[in-house]
Amino acid sequence: MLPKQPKAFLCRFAVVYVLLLLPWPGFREAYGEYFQAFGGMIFAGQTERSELTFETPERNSPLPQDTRVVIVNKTLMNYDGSGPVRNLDFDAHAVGWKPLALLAALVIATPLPWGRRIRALAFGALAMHLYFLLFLFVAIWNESTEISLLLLTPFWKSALNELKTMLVSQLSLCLPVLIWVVVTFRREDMIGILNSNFTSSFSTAEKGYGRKGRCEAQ
Amino acid sequence: MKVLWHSWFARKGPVFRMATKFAALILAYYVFALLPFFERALNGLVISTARLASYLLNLLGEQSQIIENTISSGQFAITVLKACSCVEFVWFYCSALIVFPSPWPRKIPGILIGVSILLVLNLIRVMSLYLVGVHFPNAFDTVHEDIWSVILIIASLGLTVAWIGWARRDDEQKSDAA
Repeated sequence: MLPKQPKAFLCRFAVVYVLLLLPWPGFREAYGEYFQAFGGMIFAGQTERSELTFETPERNSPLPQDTRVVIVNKTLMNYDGSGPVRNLDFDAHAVGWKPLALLAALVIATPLPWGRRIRALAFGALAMHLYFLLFLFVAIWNESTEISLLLLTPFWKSALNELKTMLVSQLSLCLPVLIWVVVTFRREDMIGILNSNFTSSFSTAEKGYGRKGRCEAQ
Repeated sequence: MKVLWHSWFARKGPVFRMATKFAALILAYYVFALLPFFERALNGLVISTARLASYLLNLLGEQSQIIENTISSGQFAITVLKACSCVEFVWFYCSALIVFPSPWPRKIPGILIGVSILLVLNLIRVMSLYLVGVHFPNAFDTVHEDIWSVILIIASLGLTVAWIGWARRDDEQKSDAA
């Protein structure tokens, strides 16, 4: 049987996570607009060569993609405004909200004082948003190659595609968990989690931080 | 200022070290994914999952056929892709156990049991998605994208936390006995 504390943590986590992911009325649309505003604040705009906008795509697709990034190479456009346009469609709820919900559920479920949990939520949300910016940057860069805003060799194009795939796949589980561990825990928490036989791995106060301590049985 | 920084780093340093090791193991997945033998192994896993799912579905009375990694019948077809192999959840779980400071005689059974549970869960996922596709096709996208992804995330984290709890309790019992 699972010890009491891990069981309580898992139950709290599961309840909060499911509650955050339930389809609350109007939330999906609101988050989509927030994500567009957030991305647009950093990336939207125009230069002599390019124009980039965030918008909501038309609702005639069965796919739940609620955010569109429109990328235009002005040098390829005709006088009447027609020409190649690159649309990057994605589901802001899946890309943005689900990883945030996982991080929030992990932090809220962690048995720590609420002051620390709130600080962890704030720093964690900041870290996640920086990651979203990285994802958008790579995705926009990748799409820009299709309309000659950026020229890459086939090798680098393939590498960029793989990087984009990796950034998306890490959003579901690994990244929120990694951020949760970094923003929530301190050395004394790790000592509390670990059995006393292994606490010397974290005895940086005695041995000096930056040097690896030997594991000593107590 | 320097003292504050030293104090902060002394508290956070061990956490950063553990997180860095974990991140390195996760990134290693993408290096392995480029290797041909990994690609073949993943293909084998996907086809095996599809075949076993089809066999079990037929035992339940469904009349499914299997072609490579596609399970199909007159009403519905489902293709088990590499993204549906749950390898990323398995890698996450194994990386968490490897990084956690605990002796290997405790990690190895944890890895074997946890990986087996995740693979069985993935098999159940494939089978349930086929059944939903046949009997409740309108619910397929919700079950596939929303429900099963949450279940696998909770399962991966749950197995990790359960193993940590077991490894800790085993240590405490041994130190009490000593």
